[in-house]
Amino acid sequence: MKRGFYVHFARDNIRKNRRLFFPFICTLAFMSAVFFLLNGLAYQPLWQNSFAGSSVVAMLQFGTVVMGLFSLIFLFYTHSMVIKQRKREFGLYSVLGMGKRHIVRILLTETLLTGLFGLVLGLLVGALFSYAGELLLLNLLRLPATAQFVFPWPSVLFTLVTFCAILLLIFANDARSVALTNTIDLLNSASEGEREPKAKVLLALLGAVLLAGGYYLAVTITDPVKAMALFFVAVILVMLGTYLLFTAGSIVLLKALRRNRRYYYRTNHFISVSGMLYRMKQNAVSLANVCILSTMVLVTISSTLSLYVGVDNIVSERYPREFNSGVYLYDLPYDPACTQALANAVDSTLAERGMAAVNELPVRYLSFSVSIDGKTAATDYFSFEVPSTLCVVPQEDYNRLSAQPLALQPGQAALYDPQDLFDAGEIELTFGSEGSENFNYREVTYTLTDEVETFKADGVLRNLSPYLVTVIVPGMDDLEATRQAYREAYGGYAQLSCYLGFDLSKDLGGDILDTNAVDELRAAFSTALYRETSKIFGEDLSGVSTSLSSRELDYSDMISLYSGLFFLGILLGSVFMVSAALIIYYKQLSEGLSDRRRFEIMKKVGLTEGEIKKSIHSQVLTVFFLPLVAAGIHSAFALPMLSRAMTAMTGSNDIPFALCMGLCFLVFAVLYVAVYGLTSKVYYRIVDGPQKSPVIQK
Amino acid sequence: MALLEVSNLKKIYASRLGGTRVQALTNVSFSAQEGEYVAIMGESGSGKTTLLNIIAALDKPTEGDVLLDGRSLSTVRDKDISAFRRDHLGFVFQEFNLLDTFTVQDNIFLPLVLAGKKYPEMRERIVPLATKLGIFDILLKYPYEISGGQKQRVAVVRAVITDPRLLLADEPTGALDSRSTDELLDLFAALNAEGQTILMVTHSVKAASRAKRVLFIRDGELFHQIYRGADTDEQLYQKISDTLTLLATGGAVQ
Repeated sequence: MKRGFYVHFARDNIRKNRRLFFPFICTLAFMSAVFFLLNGLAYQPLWQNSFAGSSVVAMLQFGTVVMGLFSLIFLFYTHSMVIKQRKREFGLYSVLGMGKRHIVRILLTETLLTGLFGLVLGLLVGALFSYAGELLLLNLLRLPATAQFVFPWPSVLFTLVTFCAILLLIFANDARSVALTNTIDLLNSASEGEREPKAKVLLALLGAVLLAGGYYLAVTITDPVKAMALFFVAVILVMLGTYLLFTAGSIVLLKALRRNRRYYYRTNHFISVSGMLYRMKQNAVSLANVCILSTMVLVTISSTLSLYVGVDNIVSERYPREFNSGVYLYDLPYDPACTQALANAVDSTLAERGMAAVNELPVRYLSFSVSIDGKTAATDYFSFEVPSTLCVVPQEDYNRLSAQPLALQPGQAALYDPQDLFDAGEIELTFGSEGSENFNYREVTYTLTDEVETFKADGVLRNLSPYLVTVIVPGMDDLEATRQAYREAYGGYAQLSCYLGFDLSKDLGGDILDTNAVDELRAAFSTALYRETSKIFGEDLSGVSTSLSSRELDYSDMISLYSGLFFLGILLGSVFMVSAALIIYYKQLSEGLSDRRRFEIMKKVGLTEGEIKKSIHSQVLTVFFLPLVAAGIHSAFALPMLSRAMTAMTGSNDIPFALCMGLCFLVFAVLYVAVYGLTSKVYYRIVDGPQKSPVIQK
Repeated sequence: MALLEVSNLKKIYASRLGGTRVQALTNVSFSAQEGEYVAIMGESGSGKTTLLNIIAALDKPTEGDVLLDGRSLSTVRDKDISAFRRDHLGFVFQEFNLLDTFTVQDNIFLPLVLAGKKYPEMRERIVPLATKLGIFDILLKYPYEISGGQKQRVAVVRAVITDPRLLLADEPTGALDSRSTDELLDLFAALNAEGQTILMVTHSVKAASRAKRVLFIRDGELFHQIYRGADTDEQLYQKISDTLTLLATGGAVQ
């Protein structure tokens, strides 16, 4: 055939089928733009000399991978919608004398042209928004927006290679499907599949059970670590449940409605129920996809947003002062001089640098893992439960932090138990187990006299485990008695920590922001502290360890992690959103065509224009907003579990997750309605419009 | 008074930009009495479908009027037109126009449901009709599960279940094989014998030869009509054939 024929033909096809191709090209452009943006940002040199850099780069690279995979899946899906609508057209070419080879060649040319349009557009948009993206990210990182932008040429190449590979796969799949279908099937493919769907009661029931199971897990699991582990189980249950309920459940429900004659044989129910039955059969999977995507958008954005917003709370809980320092004794007896040694080490290290510590906050605590059954905290646990951490704190240290000092008598104890693990008037700690050959059995019992609501150093303690109980005892003697019982049972001491929080005195110009400065300070502090403790315990210091950390530094670490996550959340969330919108668009398009015929017939039989409009409207509305409502319910159920998982991850109870989720849902719903408005216009134009076949305008 | 009065119908189609104008009907007048069985014949493009659409209130004439039971269709308001159609007219189409989303029974119920009838009443009406037309056994099947002849019988039941004053049929045998055609024509004859007024547009001489009166339409005008009188189907068939030959060769009938 003449040269240039294919290009000409393919261009014509794309123009005539623009209703199908335009959204596909836009998706391709959008996906490649986001891909390029993420990849290009990871290449920026500014990350190399910033301490937040490595985690940001890791995050961006992770995002690139996710984006690539999602693009592959989604472009495949969208393109299959395009091809499905065009099979008849290919059949016609075939009848008119084109060989399969020619059709495949036309397909190839079309793929090349759409790819060219889409990728060029995508790279342009990506390049345009790259700088804005960098500024947004820097802003989120709370860094000055002074860095220059380097155009990431390698990313251009990488993006092109990745997306060309995806397009090639798509083309290969199309070519295969055209090559394997014969002409008659191609011609008839539009009219197939109008059978009445079967009601699969068992599958529907299974779906309901799975969904209920997922919800049950989400609501009932109070253990944060377990919540984190089982979150994905719950997600899978809910996803399967959603698919089954949308596919089988909807049909079962509609058939039940149809069996109810008094309900069914009324003008509006009659048409909607039968119409929905047919519609759900064709659309259930797509609607379930939209629902899952929407839930993903909501969960991704709201959790990353809440972490980002909650970072101040998380840090201030972990750091009651600007610096945390501590000395930890493992298999060593307690010596009152330890506290002094710690203070001396801090003072001398700072003094050498012309600084001084103020607002010192010392806390001593004993900590070990236990399993709690409401009354007894046993150290000899054997179960799959995640252990809790039990801390024992002398009341002297507690009172220093509290406005309402305790006055505990010997044998008494107060309890700080924010997760309500204990519910008895007595606290029984058991060590070892009775009748064991290896261990002795000991127990220590306190009478519970007070329950305190707050404990200002609990962020420090919670570092140990998200699941924390603190027992406040009358004095260091009691603490040591407990430690002694532990030693008698197991033959070694439990860990005893002396903590000291402090601020730097502003008068002496104390301000350490730099990673290197903190590292250097930490080394010096450690040496000083070992020197001090060797005065107490002698030269063998294998049972001693030290730590020093800076709030400022931890904060920037966390901010870079969470803002990176949030940035990704926004980008991926918008990608999911666009995908959902596109699924909806193609659905409306393919449905408009078949609905048009049905309503034409009904009009002839005597359905009024107004009744038709009303019926179309209610069906489209139901189909369209079902996924949104389901996504809202899913997210609401995910809320408790996610916030627990986040507590486990961050050690903070104070993340405004519910608020963020509500906000995200509102914004999402508004966008969703906007998408509905846009796509339903296309639908109504098809159903009402004058053309016989608006997609294949032959 | 005639059941149907068609007077001086004229229909001009203008293309959307007002360029070309096509005159589909020039001047058509006729009337049909209650209990009549009228066939309208003509070549493709002669205007017979346009005529039927105007009588069915699916289209509006440029000039002229249609009276059903003395009531002018042009006085029916737009929003009542669908209700009017479903209360007074029954339709049978060439391509059956059954909905695949409904069972056979629900397809037949469609106009009744639209009219707000209750299930027991609908059931009472459908049982004798479906039995008579031999589709009782397939009431719970779907349109795609039954044959063309069965589909057309279903369409007939749907058309007459509302007791329409006038049954309109547009090429009802067009998509049927010869056996199904005969069955359908027997059915129409039987319905007519029970007093149902029928107006049928058709190409088929065989179909037209079963009517009591045949109207011929050419270039948008009524050209000729034949009354059955005492003729048998065969004799009428012969007369129609002769007329069509004349029509095709462009002669005039005295």
